[in-house]
Amino acid sequence: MIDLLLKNSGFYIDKNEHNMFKSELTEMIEELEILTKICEYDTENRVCVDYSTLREDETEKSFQKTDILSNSKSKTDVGFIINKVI
Amino acid sequence: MHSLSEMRNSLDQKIISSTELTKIYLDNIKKYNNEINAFITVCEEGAIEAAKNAQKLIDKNQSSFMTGIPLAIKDNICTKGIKTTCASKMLEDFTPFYNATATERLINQGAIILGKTNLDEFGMGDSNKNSYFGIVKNPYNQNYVSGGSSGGSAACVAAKMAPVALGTDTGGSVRQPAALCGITGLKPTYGTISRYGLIAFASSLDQIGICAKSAEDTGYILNSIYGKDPKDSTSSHKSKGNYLKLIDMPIKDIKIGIITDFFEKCQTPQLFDVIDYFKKNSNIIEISLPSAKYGIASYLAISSAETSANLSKYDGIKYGHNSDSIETSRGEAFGKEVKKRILFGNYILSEENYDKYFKSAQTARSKIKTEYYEALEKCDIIISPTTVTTAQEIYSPGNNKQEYSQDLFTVCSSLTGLPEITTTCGYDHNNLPIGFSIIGKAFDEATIISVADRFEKDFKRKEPIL
Repeated sequence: MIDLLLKNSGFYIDKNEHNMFKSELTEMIEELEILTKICEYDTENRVCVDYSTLREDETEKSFQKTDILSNSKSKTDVGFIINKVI
Repeated sequence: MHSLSEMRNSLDQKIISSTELTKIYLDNIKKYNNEINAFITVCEEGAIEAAKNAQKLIDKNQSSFMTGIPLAIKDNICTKGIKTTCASKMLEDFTPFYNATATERLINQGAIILGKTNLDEFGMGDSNKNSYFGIVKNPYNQNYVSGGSSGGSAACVAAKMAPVALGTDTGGSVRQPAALCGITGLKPTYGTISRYGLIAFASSLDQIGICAKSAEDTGYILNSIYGKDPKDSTSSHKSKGNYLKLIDMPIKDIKIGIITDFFEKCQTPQLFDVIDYFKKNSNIIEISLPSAKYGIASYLAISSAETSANLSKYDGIKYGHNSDSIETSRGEAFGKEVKKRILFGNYILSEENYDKYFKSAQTARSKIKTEYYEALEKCDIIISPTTVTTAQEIYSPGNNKQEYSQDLFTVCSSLTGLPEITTTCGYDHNNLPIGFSIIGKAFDEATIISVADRFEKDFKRKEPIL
């Protein structure tokens, strides 16, 4: 996967750089494994997530809009993302 | 003169002219910049010209707070007619034809731009080793790094080459160099300062910040540049202004949360003096933020994904350094760290990995945000170390893990969008500064500035010997 990524990187990479990037990217990808744990935890605990974490005011507006459209008073009923663990 | 308010008084009372004040800093740049390398571009003629114009306003008693006050601007914030390189070969010859909103607001008040400060290429890094224009050295000891990515902004303030400087902060890029260079650094709430004209690295995290000699000075600059901007839809109408209204407020009634885990991870025992200080002077409670351990991985995944999208426009055809082909243009002009993060971002956004990593990173971000917001319901502010260690030696061997772990304590405020200020609280055995951070509620910069100001008034800083 990493070899393919480096081959199609969009920049010219020489052999030395190729080896260096390969080893450093492998290390970085290993670091990411910590994130899969949180995903497993969330699947078990049925967590819904607000992906627009920083735009609370906008999210609130979206909630209202969605609620009106679906004629529902519940934010979770409409299956919309929420900003807390349930 | 040490503070902006003293400068303002001296200018208004005609004790010093704007031109004389500007020349003091230009002289310091001539003396120290060859060694420190904080500036990529120095605007000597433009600064003198702007100072003369500012003086005319002062003479007519038409000055605003920033009229005639010199400052520096990080070289990834657009300045009309002045090169803005992002410390990259890719934008080596780029001269913007417009000002960033933050720059524009300062210029409209009559502030003087001394020059553009050095940084890690496109803001990617925490040592300033990744600049196309060379390393920025720490004014306290030139064998050590200044931190990054706003290393030039922090170092120029510490070395008295500018009284204040604008920086940018994506995962700690103002707070970390400010802590390592012994000054005050403020990252406001996401949306407080317009990002229009800030060359994007990771748009959901980027925020313009302030490097200054004191918390009070960061408040003055924030008062001059905050606010909703129609040119940036992510700028917020919630920013309140009047950021110095709580200065001199007693801190005994403030409830302070301490992230015990963070302090225990630190290699600088002097930080425990900070806990003792707040124990004596206010109410403290211990708080735990268990998801903070996901901060670095989440930050790396999100910022790299956004980087790969934001930097795709630099192809040598529409933008940036031009060579034989797109591959050679990008290959020649991007540095190693930038290439690595683009590759990492592409990997994360690939069909196979998107759910596994990118969505998980967003989940972690959301959990971290929830925990911080819940903690801030129990207390008014949170205190934390700013960096794991003091500045590292320039030629010390480092690896990915060590470099990225320097951001351990700062990335969470970036992911949550909360405001954070760092100030100096001690010096290590090499006389290198140690910083601690105060995190506040969203859009409540006034409280963290006030608490940092109180601490600074009770703590004696050492000046670097140059």
